[in-house]
Amino acid sequence: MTYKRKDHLISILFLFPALLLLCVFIIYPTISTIKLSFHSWKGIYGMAQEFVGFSNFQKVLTSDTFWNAMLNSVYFMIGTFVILMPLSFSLALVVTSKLKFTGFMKTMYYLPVILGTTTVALMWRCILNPNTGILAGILNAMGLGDHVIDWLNTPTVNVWTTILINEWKFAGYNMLIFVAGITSIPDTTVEAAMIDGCNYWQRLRYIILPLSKNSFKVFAILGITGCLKVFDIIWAMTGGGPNDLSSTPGIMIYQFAYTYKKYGRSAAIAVILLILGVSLSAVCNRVFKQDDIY
Amino acid sequence: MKKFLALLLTLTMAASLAACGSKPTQEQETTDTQAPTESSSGGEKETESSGEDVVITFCARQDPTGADAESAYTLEKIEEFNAMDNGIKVDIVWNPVEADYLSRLATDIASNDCPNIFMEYGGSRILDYLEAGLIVDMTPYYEEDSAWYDSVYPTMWEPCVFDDYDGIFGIPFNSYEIVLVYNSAYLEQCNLEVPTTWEELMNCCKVLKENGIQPFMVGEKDTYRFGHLFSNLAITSYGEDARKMGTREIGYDSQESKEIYKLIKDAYDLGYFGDNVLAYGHSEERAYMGAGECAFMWDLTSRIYWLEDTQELNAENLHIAQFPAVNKEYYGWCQGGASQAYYVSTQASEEEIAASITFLKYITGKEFISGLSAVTNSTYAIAVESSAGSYIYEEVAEVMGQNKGLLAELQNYDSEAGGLNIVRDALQTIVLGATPDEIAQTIVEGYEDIE
Repeated sequence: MTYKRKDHLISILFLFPALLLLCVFIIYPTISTIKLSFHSWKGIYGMAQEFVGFSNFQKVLTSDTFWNAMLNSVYFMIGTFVILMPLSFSLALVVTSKLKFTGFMKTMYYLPVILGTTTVALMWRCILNPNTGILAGILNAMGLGDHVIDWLNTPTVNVWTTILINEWKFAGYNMLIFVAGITSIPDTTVEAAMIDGCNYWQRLRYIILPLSKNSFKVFAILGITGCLKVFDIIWAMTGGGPNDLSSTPGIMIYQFAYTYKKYGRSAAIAVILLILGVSLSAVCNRVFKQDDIY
Repeated sequence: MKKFLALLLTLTMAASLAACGSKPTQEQETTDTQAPTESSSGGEKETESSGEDVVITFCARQDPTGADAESAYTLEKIEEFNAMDNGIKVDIVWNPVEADYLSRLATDIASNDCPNIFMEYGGSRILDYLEAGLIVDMTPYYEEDSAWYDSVYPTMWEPCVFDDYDGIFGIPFNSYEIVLVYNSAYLEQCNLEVPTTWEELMNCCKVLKENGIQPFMVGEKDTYRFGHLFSNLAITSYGEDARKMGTREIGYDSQESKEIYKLIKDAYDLGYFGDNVLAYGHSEERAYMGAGECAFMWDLTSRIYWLEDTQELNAENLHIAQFPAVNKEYYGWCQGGASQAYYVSTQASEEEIAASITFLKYITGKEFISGLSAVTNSTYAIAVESSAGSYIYEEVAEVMGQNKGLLAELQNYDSEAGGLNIVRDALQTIVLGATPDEIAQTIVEGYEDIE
């Protein structure tokens, strides 16, 4: 056996476990889901799946509830790009600066990330309870009792409230993505700019931001796919209610399968999300393509 | 070294994957074969007797840590059963949260891992399982042991009998009725009589409100609160005909249905049900009632014990009455019956089914239920001597004894499994200001979405 062939064999052996896991946990379930999306099935083992063609997709795409859920996902995306991205990037700038106590700051910013989603939801539900919550208490004490509303049950307000809580929870996590990008910029590049007389804002505009493009790409892809499939935080905060008004496609997947016993319809929503996720990720890849300038 | 490492990693990975799909244990092995196509013992699978204990799985909506009286008692009794050395061992698969419990059960059933005994509520989901031949017809066992059959109140069999299927599929367990809980001190303070009609109730609410007493504090975060109210108002409006609303012979956009939405909406708009009702659930509502924050609530008799040790119950201010009727003719009618029933899966060997029946007889036997009733003060479908510890349980028994007609929550008569959620969710929109026409439209569109 030649050295090159041996090398190939070892590579294959190393790749095999990962490929096996990929096939078992990603590719096979994806193919099964696509197959199921063309069938009607009540979720009972042994019960025949009836082929229904594109009927599941047609019903999903003509359902107002689905489009309302998609709109809520879009709200999450808006929140991600308008609130979370600047916030996380700013935090990253702070913790990579030469300020004191940046280690402590990093820990503090990251703290909400390590809290479980249910814990966060329970905590915020207590804070936001219009009858007994601390926020209502503070507003009442300030004479602003008229502004107390049921934040988690007023349509649209409840989605945005959840989005803000979601951004609070994940700001620290996304900060790390940007920290990775910022710290990978060679010191020499920044120092050269300083020698050339660039002030902080110029360095940010012409050095840090362009060279962090890859971090923005990672953030965008994770953000978009995360928003499309968002389930846990909204489920724990509002349960998708009232009357499905704060539902998301992720919640619909769950409800169609487990509540309505329409596994085919549930799979169709999952396939639509998959297509959207892959397409939007491809768009992000293109938009945030970073030229190799080193 | 590289080769060795590569091989080691590969073997580790292969071993871990193999562990995921390891050879099934005895009880799994018997279930992981072809799915049955009949709902009788004809669909059962056979295994050779191994001489070892038959292990059966018991899936129920209970707390595996024994945090409440019912779970603690049942756990203790299962331990006693397992110690009997009768060749049967019971494994529990419990979850106290309804949604999580039902999701777990659905997943098990979808993946050919159906528990031997499981709790369900009857209705359309059971119809689906019957269609798939998943549930054992227990008629032969009842014929063999008529005392067992006779121990169940005759009015409680609804979750186990179905028009299109001959046989009795399961055994009812809990029983309940929706009753009116009222605070007599507040009624006396305002010189009010206990209402027997909806009109009288609304008048009581008006007077209470004028006297600064909140009539109801409905915990509509749990969507079944208005769901139960809808069913009770329909049942006390139309009696047995209300069943047609459940089957949708009388549509949710019919005048009859809209009148019911209007009754709820009017009461809500007048502030009789409280503020921010979506912000809290049924358990908080009970806490408010127990603390004297409101004068009325409708509740399930099987859960009256939640009011135990509350300020108002200790002061003997809380009492039970029939749910007020919209139509006087139907006073004494209400939503009720068996709320939970146990079913035996056909996806098992004959030995396992026999063991499941033995265990079911144990947990639905009079001795078990008497003991359970003594610790929970709940109401059951199996007739036992009441061991009421508080005056309120005597009132519950008295009111239940006067009942003239019972129907399940109406959506249980629907062949569409999602109907219950659609109606309950749509009723929440009353809080958002929806009109009866809009509620009707929401329900009709909801059905269109899932059909």
